[in-house]
Amino acid sequence: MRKDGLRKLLALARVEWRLRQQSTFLGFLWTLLNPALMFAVLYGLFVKWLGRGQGDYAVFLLIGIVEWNFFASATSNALSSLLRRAPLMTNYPLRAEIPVLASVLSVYFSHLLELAALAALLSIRQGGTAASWLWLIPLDLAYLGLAAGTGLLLAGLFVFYSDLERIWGIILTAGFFLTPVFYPLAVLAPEKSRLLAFSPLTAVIESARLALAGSAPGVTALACLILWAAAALAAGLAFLRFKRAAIGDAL
Amino acid sequence: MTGLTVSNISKSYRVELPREDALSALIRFFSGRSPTRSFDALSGVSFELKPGAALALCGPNGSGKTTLLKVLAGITAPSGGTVSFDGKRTCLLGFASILQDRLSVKENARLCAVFFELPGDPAKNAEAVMAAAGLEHLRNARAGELSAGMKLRLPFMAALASGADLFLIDEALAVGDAEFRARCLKELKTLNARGAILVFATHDAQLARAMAGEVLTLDNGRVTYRGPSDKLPGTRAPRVPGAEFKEGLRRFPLLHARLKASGFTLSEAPPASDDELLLVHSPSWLARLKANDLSGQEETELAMPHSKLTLPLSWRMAGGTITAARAAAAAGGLGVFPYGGGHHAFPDRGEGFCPVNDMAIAARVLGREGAVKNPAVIDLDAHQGNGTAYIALAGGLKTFSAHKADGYPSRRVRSVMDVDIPAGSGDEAYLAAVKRGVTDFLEMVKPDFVFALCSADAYEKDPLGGLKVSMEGLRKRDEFLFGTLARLKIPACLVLGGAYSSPEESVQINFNTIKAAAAAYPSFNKIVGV
Repeated sequence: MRKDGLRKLLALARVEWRLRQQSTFLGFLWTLLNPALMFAVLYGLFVKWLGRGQGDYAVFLLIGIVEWNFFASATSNALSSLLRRAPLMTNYPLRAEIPVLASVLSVYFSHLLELAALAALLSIRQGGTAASWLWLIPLDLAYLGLAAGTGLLLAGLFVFYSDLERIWGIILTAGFFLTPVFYPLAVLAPEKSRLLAFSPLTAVIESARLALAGSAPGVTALACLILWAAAALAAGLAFLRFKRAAIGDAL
Repeated sequence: MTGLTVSNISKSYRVELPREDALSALIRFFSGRSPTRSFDALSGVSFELKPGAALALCGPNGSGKTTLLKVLAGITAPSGGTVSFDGKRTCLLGFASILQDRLSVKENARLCAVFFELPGDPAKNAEAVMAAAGLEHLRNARAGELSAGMKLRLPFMAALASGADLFLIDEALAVGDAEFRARCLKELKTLNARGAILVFATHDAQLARAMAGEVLTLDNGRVTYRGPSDKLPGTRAPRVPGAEFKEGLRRFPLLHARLKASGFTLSEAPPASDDELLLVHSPSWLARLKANDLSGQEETELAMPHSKLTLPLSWRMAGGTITAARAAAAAGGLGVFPYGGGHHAFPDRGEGFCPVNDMAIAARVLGREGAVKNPAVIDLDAHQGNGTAYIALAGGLKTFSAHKADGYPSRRVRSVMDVDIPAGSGDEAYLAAVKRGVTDFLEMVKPDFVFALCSADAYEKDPLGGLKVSMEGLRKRDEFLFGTLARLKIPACLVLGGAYSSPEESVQINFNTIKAAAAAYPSFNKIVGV
């Protein structure tokens, strides 16, 4: 992407983020309140059952929620981004990737705030930080790539198939339960646990938990995540480029 | 920088055909395919422009001007042909789409600076754009609080400062206040003289002649004229038809008598207040209305003959439409005010026999009172509703206009939906265009209230309308419109706008319209505002 393209991407991401904050009464506090509320509900429901076998279930759950929320919000926001920005797309020579990536980036800004709050909480609870936390940087960059790639594909498809919004909502609901957000993989049967380990979301969440607990993430999980992210980005970018003219006409 | 070379450009779209029955809908559902037809938006367009050249694109709405500009800008890929240009392009097409009403003027200036690729620091560029637009003092105001004319200064100024070699402008030169427009034109001429290529779409033949050496006229996507702008066919200055206007006013006493004899009650509405006029019009225009001091030259320029007679009626005109609209909204039915329909009036000036835009004022008054949420204007006058369309750019009102393709007003502002009807079309073509347009518009906009401007000037003997529709054709038009609105349970305020044929014929057409509207809304109390 050329320098001007990058500037437009950042400018649009800034606009999206500001619009999301300004359109609510509590502004950016929602960024923290949403996962906090979800945490309170899940913790209250499952601490007695799942908390027994999982040490420090509160931290375990918070990391799961923060990481899951990013993917769910970023992809949902990206899905409608091309249609939302159709007036701009039809009046300015703007590459189709830019509004999609801007919407993912705007959610990423919020995600970084959530991670910062989580890190602050953990440093108080654990009495300091650990070098292994730095693993979050490559992890989150790969995760951003995964969300961006998925968002690009979804946004391109949504221009032609309006049912996709509903379908994606259902997939995300299923995905929430098929990802170890609030339960440890150990509570599942071994064959199911092995199957879920192939999911990039499992890889992100489990790796983030390891990194924040002071250990290095597993190489297999990292490789799995990077491969998924690269595949998603390649598929998303290829789809938008291949369908560029058709998307322009459909908008 | 090289010149711009356009070789044999064509652009086709697939247009989905309407599904007429349940069977075709089922076939579409199970096959996943829609019946479509090909629509050629552009066909075989070629031209070359050297650095420093200016080209005006003319032609009726839907002729392919915007599509051509989008192809030149690289927004739309052509189906065939090539565009060759080596340099920086800047386009001002639907430029309001870049602006964010909920963000500050400063944020919007920054966005414009980035999108028009101004070199350097975006924050500094934003300051420069605000200064050039004269909006520094409003830096922290929300862009949504500005008038449409003030808002458009930001993208325009950013575009002018972009250092582009090719400027592509779509009817943007028609909007904004006179001073700003003159300044933009001057700066564009300077850039053009320095070597920038200028391609702009316009309905204004005078503007085409003033700004461009060459004109390319499109019709149905094909070039119908290309040559020097001073030889553009049909570019003589419009005549101000003062006599016809005065003749049109003579119909009202006759209409009153006809309505009374038919059991309608005539009721004088209270005049609108200054505050209500200011919901749409600028304080400067209100002052001119009060002073009633338009010069003869201004009367000619604004097509406001006999302004001494009409300007003082502004408050009554707006008040009548407000009262009729209130009655319609309260009853969920119909309100009628024959004198309304000032659809050429802009916020800062009256135009085309219209001292104030009573429909826009009434829409804002009712919106402020919470009586309507999504009002729309269905404008069936033979002349395009440019003033209403301009006011609607600021939001809160959707406009539809079905009018003669060329002629007055030469400087048009795009409505949500415009239907250009060829001169002399006659009943069949006129009714088909109106019915299809109104149906699509209502389906798209889903208004909760409609101001219906059902003028009589499409009539075949009307000297200014030129659409050659019979009295029977107009009756069918009105029965269709009010039947549709009533079926959809949309309250309507009927205004009658202009009529320039003989007073007797105009009265008959106006009476037919009121009768058709009253028949469609049985709850109508038969009170007509005067």
